[in-house]
Amino acid sequence: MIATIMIIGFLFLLFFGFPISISMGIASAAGLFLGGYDLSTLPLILQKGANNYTLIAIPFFVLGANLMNTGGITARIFDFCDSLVGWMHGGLAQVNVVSSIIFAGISGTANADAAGLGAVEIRAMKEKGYDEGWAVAITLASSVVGPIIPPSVAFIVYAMFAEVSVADMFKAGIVPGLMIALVLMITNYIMAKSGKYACPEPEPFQAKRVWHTFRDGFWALLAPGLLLGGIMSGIVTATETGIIVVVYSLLVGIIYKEISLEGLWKALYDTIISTAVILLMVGFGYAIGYVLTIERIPQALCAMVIGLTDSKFILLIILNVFLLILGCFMDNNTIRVIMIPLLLPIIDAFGIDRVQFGVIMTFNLLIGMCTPPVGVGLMIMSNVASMKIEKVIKSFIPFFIPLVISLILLTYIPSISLCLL
Amino acid sequence: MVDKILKRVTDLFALISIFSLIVVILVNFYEIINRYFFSKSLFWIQDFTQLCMMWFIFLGVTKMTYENQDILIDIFVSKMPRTIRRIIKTIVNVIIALFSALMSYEAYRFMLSNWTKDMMTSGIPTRYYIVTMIICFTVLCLMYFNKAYRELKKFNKGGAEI
Repeated sequence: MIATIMIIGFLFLLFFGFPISISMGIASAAGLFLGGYDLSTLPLILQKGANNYTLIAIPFFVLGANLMNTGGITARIFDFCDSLVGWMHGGLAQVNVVSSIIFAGISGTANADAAGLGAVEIRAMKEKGYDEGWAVAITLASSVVGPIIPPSVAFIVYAMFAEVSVADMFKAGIVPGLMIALVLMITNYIMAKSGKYACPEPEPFQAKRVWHTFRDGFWALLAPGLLLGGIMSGIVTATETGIIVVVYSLLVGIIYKEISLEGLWKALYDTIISTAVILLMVGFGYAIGYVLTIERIPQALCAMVIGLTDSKFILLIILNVFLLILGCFMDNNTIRVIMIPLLLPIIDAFGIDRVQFGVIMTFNLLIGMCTPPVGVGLMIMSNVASMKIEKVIKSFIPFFIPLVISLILLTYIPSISLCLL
Repeated sequence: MVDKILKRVTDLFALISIFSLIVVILVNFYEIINRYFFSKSLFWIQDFTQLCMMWFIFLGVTKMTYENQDILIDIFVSKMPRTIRRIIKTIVNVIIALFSALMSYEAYRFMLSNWTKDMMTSGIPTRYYIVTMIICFTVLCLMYFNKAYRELKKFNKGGAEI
């Protein structure tokens, strides 16, 4: 009963325009009050949630990505990818995907990808005469690779709530991220070949240009390799990786002579703003999870689901559809902090690996964010590209189907996520 | 006047927040170098990092709120007539201000009950951590009461027409 009031209260507050984190705070305070618990535990839970040692890596990855965007690294990655895969059918659309993979290997969020690389990609594709809808749609589709390929803020949050190793989550994201990118590149190829979309003839491959752009962007391109090497070998922890990202991005920005004091200040300032939102939300989300746990709601939900089905196959379909629908309407981190404590007993009872489920959930919510007709990602892209939402939706549909196919593969073939563990 | 004070305060908090982040990065980078190259470790590093992060997060929250950067869903409220929208906004701001006051009070009680406790490893007093929440929610309380007051003022200045 308390949990029902708390969840309905939370949705009610959201409806009336309360900030998401504050809605969680008020709902959890109400839950504690109604349950007869001491309200002074709320600051304790908030402190535990927001200041969890695992989460400390988040500001580092966000700052690292902000420094990349201001330090000229993003543009160099794009130039290198252009020289490397620009000769393929679908030229710049393929560049869009490959750039996102490399950028994802340094940055931890989809926002950093969309804000930094996304703007460069859309502008370049428009200027070269590509179909505008295609440019916007592939930018949105390729941004989902960001939180799957390590480092990833989404994986850090999941790891904290699911009590799994951040390093394992990072390793588990590598193959799925590459698989999604390959699926998107195949879709680009088919679209370019179909002749239905404006697409200039690809420029011939020039090994000399690849060498020049590689030499120019060497320090930027070295970053993903260093980070993945560090994480995979276990030499550094996730938090230490975040610190290395920051120091390295700063040094590369100085080497390229593109980082100014003003740029550095802006990167730091933007980091405060975006990280404070996430960490406060996680802190109050932790409080909601605490109330749900002491009211034994996850166990009750688990018993109910087991009563409905004993098939892992059907359970995964139900969970995927449910998360896709939630992802259309709500912020990904909000869903994560509320749903993980509720879903963990269920996935444990059905013998699903927590790490694999983390990859499925993260990818699912990212697709939900791009799901027509109401996904938040579609609205953001409509706003960024000054394009009507209907056109964004229509353009995104060819990418939506392959993304869902990738989700199905990830869901039913655990080895895709777990092969590197 | 209140706006100006709040701006100054949150600017100062943003500075402290950024300073905390820089300190955390420098100290932890030093620790990484020390550990991997000289096999030495700072025993207080985790507690100190968490202390800095408390200051970073909770003072950062005040700046984020002042800049209206918090995530909210306003598609329903924005569709409502202006008068109703203003009434809702005023009520929302007052409720958040009251919640912030409650959080501030509870954090104060929590701090008093932990006044003599220190962190196990480093000996840093726990009150140094908790005080950030008191500061954060006190400022949020003032900020939201100010927002509510501004909405009311707009309402009185003839914003009641639909």
